[in-house]
Amino acid sequence: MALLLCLLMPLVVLSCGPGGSLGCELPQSHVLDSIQNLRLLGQMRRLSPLSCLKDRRDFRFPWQQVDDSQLQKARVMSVHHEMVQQAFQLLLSERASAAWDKTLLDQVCKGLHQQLEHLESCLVQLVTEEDSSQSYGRASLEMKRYFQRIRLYLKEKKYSGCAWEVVRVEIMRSFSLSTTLQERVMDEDMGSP
Amino acid sequence: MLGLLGAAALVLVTGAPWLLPEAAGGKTLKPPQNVEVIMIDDSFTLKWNWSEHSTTDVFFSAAYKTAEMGDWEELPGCQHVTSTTCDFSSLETNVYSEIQLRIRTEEGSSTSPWHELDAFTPAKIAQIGPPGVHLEAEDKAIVIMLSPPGTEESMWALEHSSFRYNIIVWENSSGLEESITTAYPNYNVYNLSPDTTYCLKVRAELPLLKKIGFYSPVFCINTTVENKLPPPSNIHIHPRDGFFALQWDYPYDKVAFQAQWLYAFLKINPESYEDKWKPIPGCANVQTTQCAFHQNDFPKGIYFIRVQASKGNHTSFWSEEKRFATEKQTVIPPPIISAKSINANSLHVSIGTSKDSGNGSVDSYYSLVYEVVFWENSSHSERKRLEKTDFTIPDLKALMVYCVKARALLKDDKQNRSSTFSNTVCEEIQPGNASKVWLSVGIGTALFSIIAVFCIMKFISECIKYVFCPSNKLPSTIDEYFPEQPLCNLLLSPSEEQMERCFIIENMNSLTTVVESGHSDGDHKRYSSQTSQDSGNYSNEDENNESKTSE
Repeated sequence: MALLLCLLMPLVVLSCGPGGSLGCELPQSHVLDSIQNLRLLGQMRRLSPLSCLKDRRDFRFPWQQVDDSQLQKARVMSVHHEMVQQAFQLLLSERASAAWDKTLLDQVCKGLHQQLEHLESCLVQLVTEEDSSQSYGRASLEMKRYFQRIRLYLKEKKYSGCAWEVVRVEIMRSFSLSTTLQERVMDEDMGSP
Repeated sequence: MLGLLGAAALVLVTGAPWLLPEAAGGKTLKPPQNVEVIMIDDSFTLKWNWSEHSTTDVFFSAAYKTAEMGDWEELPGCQHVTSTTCDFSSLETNVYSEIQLRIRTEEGSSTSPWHELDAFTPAKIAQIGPPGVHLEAEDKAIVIMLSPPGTEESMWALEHSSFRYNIIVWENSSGLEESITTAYPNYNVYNLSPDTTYCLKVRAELPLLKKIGFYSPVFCINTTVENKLPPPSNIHIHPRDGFFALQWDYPYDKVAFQAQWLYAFLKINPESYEDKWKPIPGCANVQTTQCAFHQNDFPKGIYFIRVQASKGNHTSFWSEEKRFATEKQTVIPPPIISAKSINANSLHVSIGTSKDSGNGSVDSYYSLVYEVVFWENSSHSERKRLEKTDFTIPDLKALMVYCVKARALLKDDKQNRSSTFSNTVCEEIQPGNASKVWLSVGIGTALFSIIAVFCIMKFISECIKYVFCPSNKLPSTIDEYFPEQPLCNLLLSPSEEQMERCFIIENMNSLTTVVESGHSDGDHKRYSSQTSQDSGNYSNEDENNESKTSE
């Protein structure tokens, strides 16, 4: 038993390497910010989702990009970054400010912007380190494709109230998934069991 | 003659195919060559070569297919075109999905085989066009307002906030260049000379996609004449006891100032945010080059701040926009500490959190470490440890009072943020089980030694008694004359006056009754000299008697 422990210890020590090994450090409050933003998104609701049942759409969230047992930090970072960026841009648009409560929207945008700042400084370093043969990360591309579907849907539905409500729910869902993923990677990084 | 005509006809018939290549049912039509797709922002163009010579009109048609579609569809804007280029910008497709194109030649009712292109992702091959530029001049600055390449719902709709703009500015006369890269489409170039012509060109970049766009055309503008009131300079912000202190420099006195703030994220929007600036409460109209505002007014986020000077009817231009990122005043609640001395010479400490810790459990999302300070109550020598929530401090002095307090710290925090100290708990260190054993052994030993000493003393006293105070048994004859008078009294109690009573025995044959005198002193009986022999026997007997009696 002791021998087994002795053999496993170096592995444990190696895997619990410092978070800054990829040259990137997210502040402690990052996950807390994510949860705060999610809460604000929830508060933004204007219409009852039940009244918009006919407008529901399957946007085909790219599950295979997030549900991977091999959680590589770079991939998770780029997925999460893309997620936050796209949600931010969508809510920043003029059409969004016409659809949602100004104060809440400002709070959400402010929170998302802050998250983006933190993620971008990380991601720029990761991209320069990786092999630059592909200008697009596969995961990023799938995320963009997914958000483009959302935008085309909004255009098709002429930015109606129900369309925005469906989109809001969709964003919340994918945002919480992305946050969980990020949390998991950060936990692994810190070496907690 | 007839043969000649026949031969000519035969030649004509056989030679017809190469003389008239367009004959029906003959050679197939060639598809277009060197087909190229050019995408710049929202303009999609298809270009090709077709070098075949033809007499009649030749048309070209293209089709497209995406992964979501089942079948080929007509490419809008590229149906029956006569030139070797067509514009299919009106195509609405997901630019991040792969698309396939094909094109063929048409002539009359005949068509060439399709020339298929490899599938591609529009966003990957697209190039970034020049951004839109709008300029405004101040006396020592130029306000640049850029609009991102493409339209609002364009190719780059999902990339707006990723754009980085590279601006090259130069003074027209001297040619001194300055290259600037900014994330915000609204950028101000400062520290310029008044009344001077400046020119610039801008290009947009997407660093994460490693794309660099085309430069815009060159735009030139003149800075205005110098303003009477310069804008405030050197703005800095310091946190101070629940406030933020905003300070700036200004060369003149008797000037009023006002400060404004803006959400930083609004600058990412290419739209004008000029109307979105708001006054800072407490800094709306100040006469000094500083003001303070509550930290609560600026919850966690990134902001921009600017200051303007005014005197009478004149106002200065706005100062440089100072970026200001607040960090949340994270209220880490102080922990609750409890200590108990359980084991030998050690103190078991438990750190917990109060139930009313505010917005949910902060601990779940923050990694906290605890700084524990403990000290001996008497000497006030302090020691610190960083520990988890349940631990034991060993090697403490038994029966001493130790006091403990703790505070929580954010793990790996550059700002070393921490909570206030918890309650102080003081505990007396219990001696360990081992000490108790020693204590009882000690007590036992002490008792035992006391008993032992007591016994020894008794034994010694017995010995002394025996040695110095023997119980002599005189013969009955002498005995009746010698009342029991232990000799030890002579030694042990010399204070008592010893009385001797002596008897003189003159005749052994008959022991005459000697008349006893009543006097206490000098009473004696006379014994004969024959007693000397008897005395020898006497003593032996006495000794024997003595030994018998002493048993």
